[in-house]
Amino acid sequence: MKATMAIMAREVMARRELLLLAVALAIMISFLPFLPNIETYEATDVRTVASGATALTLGCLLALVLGATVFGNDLSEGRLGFFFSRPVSGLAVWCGRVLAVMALVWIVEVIVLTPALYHEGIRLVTSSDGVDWLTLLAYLIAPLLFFLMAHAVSIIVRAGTHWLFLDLGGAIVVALFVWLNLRPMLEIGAVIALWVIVGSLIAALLIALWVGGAMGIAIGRVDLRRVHSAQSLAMWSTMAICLAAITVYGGWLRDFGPREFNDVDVMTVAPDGGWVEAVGGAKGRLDVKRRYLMSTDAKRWVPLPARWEFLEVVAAYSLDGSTAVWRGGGVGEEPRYLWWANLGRPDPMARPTSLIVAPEAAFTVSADGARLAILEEGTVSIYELGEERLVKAIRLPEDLQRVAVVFIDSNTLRLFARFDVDDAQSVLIAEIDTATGELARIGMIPGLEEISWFAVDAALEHMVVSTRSEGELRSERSLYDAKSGALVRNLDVAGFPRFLQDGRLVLTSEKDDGSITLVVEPIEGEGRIVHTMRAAHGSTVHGEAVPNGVVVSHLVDPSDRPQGIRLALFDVDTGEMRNIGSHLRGTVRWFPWQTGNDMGFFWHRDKPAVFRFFIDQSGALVRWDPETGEMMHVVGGKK
Amino acid sequence: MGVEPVVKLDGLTVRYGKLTAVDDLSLEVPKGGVFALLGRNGSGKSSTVRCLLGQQRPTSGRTRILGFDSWKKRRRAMERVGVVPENPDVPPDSTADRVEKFMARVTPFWRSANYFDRLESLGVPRKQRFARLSKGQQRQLALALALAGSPRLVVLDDPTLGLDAVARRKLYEELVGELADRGTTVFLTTHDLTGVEAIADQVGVLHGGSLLVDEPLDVLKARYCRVIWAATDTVPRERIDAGLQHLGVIGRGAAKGTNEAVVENFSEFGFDRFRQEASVDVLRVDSLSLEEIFIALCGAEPGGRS
Repeated sequence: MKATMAIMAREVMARRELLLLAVALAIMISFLPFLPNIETYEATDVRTVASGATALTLGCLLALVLGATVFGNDLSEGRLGFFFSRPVSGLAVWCGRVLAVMALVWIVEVIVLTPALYHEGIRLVTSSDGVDWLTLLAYLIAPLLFFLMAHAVSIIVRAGTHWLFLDLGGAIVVALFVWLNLRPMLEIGAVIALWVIVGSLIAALLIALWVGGAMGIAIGRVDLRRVHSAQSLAMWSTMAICLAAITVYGGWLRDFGPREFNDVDVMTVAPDGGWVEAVGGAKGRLDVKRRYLMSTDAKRWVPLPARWEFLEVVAAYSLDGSTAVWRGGGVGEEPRYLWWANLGRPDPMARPTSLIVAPEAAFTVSADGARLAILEEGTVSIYELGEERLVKAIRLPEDLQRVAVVFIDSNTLRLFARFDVDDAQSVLIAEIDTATGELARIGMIPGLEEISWFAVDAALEHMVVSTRSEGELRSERSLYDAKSGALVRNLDVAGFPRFLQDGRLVLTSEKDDGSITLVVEPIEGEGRIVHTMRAAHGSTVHGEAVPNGVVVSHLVDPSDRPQGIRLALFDVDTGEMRNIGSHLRGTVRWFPWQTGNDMGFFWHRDKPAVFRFFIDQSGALVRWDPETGEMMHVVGGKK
Repeated sequence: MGVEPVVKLDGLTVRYGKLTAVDDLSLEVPKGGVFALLGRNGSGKSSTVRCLLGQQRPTSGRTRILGFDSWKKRRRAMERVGVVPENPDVPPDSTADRVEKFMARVTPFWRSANYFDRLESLGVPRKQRFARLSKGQQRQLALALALAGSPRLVVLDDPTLGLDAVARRKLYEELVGELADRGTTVFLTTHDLTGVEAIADQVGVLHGGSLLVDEPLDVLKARYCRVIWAATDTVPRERIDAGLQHLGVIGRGAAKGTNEAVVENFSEFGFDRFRQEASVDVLRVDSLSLEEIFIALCGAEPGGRS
């Protein structure tokens, strides 16, 4: 320690002129606001920006220059023997000189920052959230990193030994490992985990460079070639150990199954309610979320690719619930492979296909899961899923927008799309013969204003189109025949419509006093029933959990919120309410069976079981049994 | 149990790739006295010194200074060792004063007064940067640094390089006068054979990485002689050659009316045998200077002996 301090003091004294340079720069920066053209800006801002930029640039530049010369020059000129002829250890030589240089660089930064510190004080490195670690680390760590890297490269270049090949190979392997560690986090969109891995990699690089440099000097001593060999061996061994540790840690962060879930989100539910697409995090795994296609007995699961946007829906199911198809993982706009699984098998496995689709492509599966239709860039391609054989590719007319397709049967697709004529928008209803590839128009809804969305019922008999008039906030919903496009009637309730199993429509709307009006009406004929539920801000009507019984999340009193929301089963005929449970976080994040590129979607023939899944206060997925009224734990939840 | 030698090299071998710079070198330098390691350029002297000072790891073998392994225990070993390198390596931006401050903090037996007295007596400016000193002053400063730490061993790697004759003489006088009195051991390498002849107690000669000679200088000089005899036609050359074998002939020559031979194992007994067997008229026996011995040993290809 004594020797380290002695060397450090000597090195600082030898380069003390740098401090004068820093003082000169600080004085110049203080007078900068008085220069012509700059005087129009706020003086404090000018000093802060100039100080910050100059300090960081100067710090990094000094670190680079000194890193390349402090040891390199002495080794080349045979001057390092001065230290090694004294009773000081090699590590003391390394530590003393590096710490001296870094102390000088940091002092130079502080001096240059003085004009800004005088005005801003500690606020320079703090934000509203506390210490601004990124800025602080930039001033402290960036110069150290530059110094160590410049030193390592300087030794490599000056020595010119065959160890250069290890360095090059090491750099390539490290770059590969860095990408392998970062890519999964980018795919998942786990920002905290990504920053932890990035930070770990920077720390690993610093440690490896420090150990390499120290060992190079301690073992190689005055012999440049041996310094290089010792540096390379120590640096890459350390890097390998650190990378292995980071890779193991990164792998552990990502490697957990549904049974380890704490918070669960369910994105899709198979039409028969047997399988769900669940996303969840696990204890200690930072913000990493895994996605699984999971049987609701929680004993079987198939891993799904993670998504940057974890709310994105991945899986599409066949109507019989036996087949699921999904896009594989990828970063950004990379094309993805399609994957599928036969959920009817006792032990379903994820199976890759050779089909590649763009991230924005839509796809739908036939009722029996045998065929797959992909809608991408104006073309509908139909495949035999098992054989991956292209049955037909149909180029759609270019003026179609918001296209949505659904299988009527294995040989016919129904197509709904918007097209514009002058200022008016229309909905085209057509059928595609998968054998001939012919597109036959069967109906049209003409002369609409701006279409917000359209939705088609499971039987493909009726559809609701939501439109908005120009300049008006309120949107209107109308019911149409889903084959001919003929108007059935306008719906005078603004809420999101749902079709019941028996074909009736449920419409809801919230009034200003917080009460909810729930209207049940047949498609045609009489029999309209209107219920007014008491004031319950935030109440929502969900799906049909038992015949003619819809789930209502019923928040009577906002003060109940910490206790969770209360769910009730609402009989649409009698208006009776039956308590499902309290202390619940809500229903599953169920999304309709979306197959269109934009806002067209379909209701499939979901069984009531689909709407019996809820998320409880602990974040667990639970299933409600209407017979017994019990909540059965499926997966997840904070233990 | 004998006294631990100050310097001990045991099977020292240094290789650079396929080149063997030092080959299985073993020697011991006892306490006190001056050991001179001689050799031509590239003979392995610098590698030997670097290994001895623990600055370079030998390919095989061991080096010890004052009983410490100089690679593994370099820091301990260097506590009582002064070093004057071939090229003075004091940081060029340092002044004599600033170097002293550093040395005082890292050298356990540092004597500032000794250091400053020496600089003053030699007229080395204390406030001038090392890079601006003359070559002679740089060497004097290096020597002052080496001696002010109360060393028990001083290692000088070609210390007279670049010094004029007066400075060389002065340096050697100091070494003999000051260090010998203190019982400090001196290990030096040099090409200044004339100068070192006056002060060396023991000499080692390296050639092609191998140690040809390691013995006290007076013994070496007694062994190496030039025998001169009158040229004759009556004695067959074979008889003369046979006689010279008793003296270990390593070279033959002829001048006007005389013949001569350089021998490496001169002894009274051998000389008598030579005279009896060769029956020649020996005119005189000249002792060789160290330089002549060195040329006789290293004058030709690696392996020596012309």
